[in-house]
Amino acid sequence: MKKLVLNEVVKGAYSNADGFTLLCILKTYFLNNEEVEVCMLGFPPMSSSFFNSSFGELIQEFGIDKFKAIIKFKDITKSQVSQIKMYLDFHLH
Amino acid sequence: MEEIINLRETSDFSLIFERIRNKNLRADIDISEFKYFYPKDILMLVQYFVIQNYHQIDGSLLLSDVNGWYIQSINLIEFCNTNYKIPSHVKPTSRTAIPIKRVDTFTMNGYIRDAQNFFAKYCQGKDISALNICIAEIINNVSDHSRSEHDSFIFSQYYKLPKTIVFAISDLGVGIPDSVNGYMRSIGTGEFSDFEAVDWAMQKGQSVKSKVHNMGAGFDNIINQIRGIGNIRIFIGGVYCQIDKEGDKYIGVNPISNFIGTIIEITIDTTKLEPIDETILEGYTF
Repeated sequence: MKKLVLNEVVKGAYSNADGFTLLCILKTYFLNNEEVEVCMLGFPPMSSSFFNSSFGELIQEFGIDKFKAIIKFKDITKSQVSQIKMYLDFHLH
Repeated sequence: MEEIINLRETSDFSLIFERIRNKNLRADIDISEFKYFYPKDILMLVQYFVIQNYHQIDGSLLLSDVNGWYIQSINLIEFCNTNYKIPSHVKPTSRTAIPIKRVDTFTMNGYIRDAQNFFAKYCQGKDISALNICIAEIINNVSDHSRSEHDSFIFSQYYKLPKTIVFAISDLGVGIPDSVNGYMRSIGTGEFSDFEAVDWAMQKGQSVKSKVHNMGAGFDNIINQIRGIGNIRIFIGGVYCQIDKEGDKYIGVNPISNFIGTIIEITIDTTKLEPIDETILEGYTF
């Protein structure tokens, strides 16, 4: 499985622009149906704009089931888990 | 300069906004009787002097011995003299405040990193991620909606008694009521009063869709981050909105008349912050 260290591929976790960078990188895996391990170590808390432009866009385009199947989070803190859960709930409801 | 505007308390800033509205900026500001400045007060002064400089009008600030040291320690005058057209870094001198900054979505990463490092010394072992997220959400909001000519300004201060971080972000752009009603007109529904528009914008999932992917999560995120650890004060046009520690919202009349743009001031009680949870999960699938 390919591994992506978030801290190395995007500059920040706050803007739409940084979210779009991540979207461009991750989209390839969705198009190729290839699982990817996303390493969250040391990555700062995300803003809703960052989330909407990256993970949110992928969920909208490919659906939540494919999102869960393709992206495997690694080295993630409990607070990162609860933050992503909160954004996912927001997107899904 | 013949006229002097006397500012003694926050509501007196209406005199400044009246000048900005009427493009009558030929007045000095006397703050010698103003006792205690919060970040939002500082930013209102900044806005006046930045616009004054932008229009190449000389002005001065009359200080007292008591508040003069503070105004000098945060480099307010230097900031206004160097930031009226493009962002420029001002050297820090205060030990408890981060220098005032002109920010946008391109420069916010740097400010957030500086703020995180600066305030960490007052909150050792505590999770201050709420600070990062709130700053980012507000600056993104300004960028998406306000169309402010002068970007936005941010000022952050630590207070030892009580142990709080207070930061404010201001802009002189289109406020929420105009933005919401523009959207309402575009979708062919009736317009809101300013109070209703602010209330609508605060609700989860409400967005004027200024960007395709906007979901209306920003304000809700800010409220969730601050719940239990602080409060939020928002000044928008004629509206004042306050959200307290429990998440209860109060919407009323802005005590500063003639107000232009938006100022959001957030107070974080550092004694209420949770300890940093360093538990790292090896793998997680949602």
